[in-house]
Amino acid sequence: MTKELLISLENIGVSFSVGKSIFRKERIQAIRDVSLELYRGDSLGVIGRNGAGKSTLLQILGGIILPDTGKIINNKATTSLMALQAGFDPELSGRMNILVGGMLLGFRKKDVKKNMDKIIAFSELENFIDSPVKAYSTGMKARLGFSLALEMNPDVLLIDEVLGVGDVQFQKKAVAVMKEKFLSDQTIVLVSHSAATVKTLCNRAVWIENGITHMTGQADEVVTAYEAFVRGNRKI
Amino acid sequence: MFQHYIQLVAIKVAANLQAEVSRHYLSYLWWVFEPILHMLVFYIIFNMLLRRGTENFVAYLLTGLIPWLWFNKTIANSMMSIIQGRGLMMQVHLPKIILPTIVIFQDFVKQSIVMVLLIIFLFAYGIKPSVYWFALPALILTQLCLISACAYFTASIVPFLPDLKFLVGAGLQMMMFGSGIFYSTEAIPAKYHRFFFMNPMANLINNYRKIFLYNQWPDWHALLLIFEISLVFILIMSLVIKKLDHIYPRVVL
Repeated sequence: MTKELLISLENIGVSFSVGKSIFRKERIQAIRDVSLELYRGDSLGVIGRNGAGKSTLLQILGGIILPDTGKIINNKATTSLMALQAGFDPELSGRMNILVGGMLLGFRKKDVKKNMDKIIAFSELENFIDSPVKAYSTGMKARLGFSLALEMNPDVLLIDEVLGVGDVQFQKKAVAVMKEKFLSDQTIVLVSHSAATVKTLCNRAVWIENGITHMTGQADEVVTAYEAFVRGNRKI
Repeated sequence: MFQHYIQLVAIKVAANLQAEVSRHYLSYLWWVFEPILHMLVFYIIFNMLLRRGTENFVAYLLTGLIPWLWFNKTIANSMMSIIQGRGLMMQVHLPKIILPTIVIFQDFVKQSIVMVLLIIFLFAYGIKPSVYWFALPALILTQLCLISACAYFTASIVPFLPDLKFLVGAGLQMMMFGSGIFYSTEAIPAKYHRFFFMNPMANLINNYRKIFLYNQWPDWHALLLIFEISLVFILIMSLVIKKLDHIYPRVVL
């Protein structure tokens, strides 16, 4: 049985111009040449060292920025990035942020409202949900973001290392539901520099080195090669 | 999809206003105090110190100042809206025009309340209501369009050239002095009148005074012209911002 292709990237390149003033501009090549294919039901891990271009890749998959070079084919898959806390408005209450955040992710008002209680219950923030988010601790914000993201079921869920959320107890809960998500039909792209996470959660993996796809394949194969490479590098 | 975003803007406007109110001790009252404080400054300087006041000077000042403050504040607030939406636009793809639109309507709601109070004040001040007051909605609509056009324009450019915000500040200052808020337009030599009224805000303020103070209909031709040009501008700017939708997340880093 052939799987349904959701998104494919062909030789993607992205560069950012970092200008301190109009007289001095620098270009930074975040991604040089990345290709990958994402099929329905895949859980694809993206590994690479810091600055390899992993987060930029997620932004491309999420349709937030467009690549400078290369081709991106999206077969009408909705994507959303799971790490919404940065987009929360600190002045608004937790409840309002769920509503606005959910709608920003493309959900209809009534759908978000329907799920509201479930989201609040999962975040365990019942006592704070009507106070402004600026009064939340970092952990509480992360819990709110995680709970909101969990209730959405886009075609492709993009995750940027969010498993370290909240206190130990919440983390256990989070890891458990994440594992469930990974085992289900949900298509997931997980970006991580922790090779072990990718190995346990993903079935396929892409290794990016300096903005270039270094290796694509089964998760354990790619991770093994990556770990060997990192260890080798350290010796030198 | 379009309807979805309208709903989103409406919810965000309501939520922002609510948050703004709960943030300050005097909450709603500030929306009223602020124009009154401005008015006091002008009143003290021009009426008491310089003795340049015209007849009904308080009413004269307020009818100019309140529309001006609306324009001034919306431009100043929306200027940074796309840059401030940074955290959001890195997480989800959203049409960036939403960001200044939220500011425009947030300020519009506040202005509507102030407008109602202005009418109550004028009434209490002893100015008789007239049939000409019915032209007010047309004036407000025209000004809303003018404000939107200017707000989209500044909001779309400032992310690329953040230094422009200083220029916008200076430009607003200059425009304020050129809008005849605290001096009578008769003080300007007749040969410059044409240039003076090319400033759309000067033109609008003059029309506000026509209906409120001088018992006249507004200059419909001028209003229509401002309305049409603003509308064209809004259309162009929304296309430009749509074109730049994927560029902004890279620029505002």
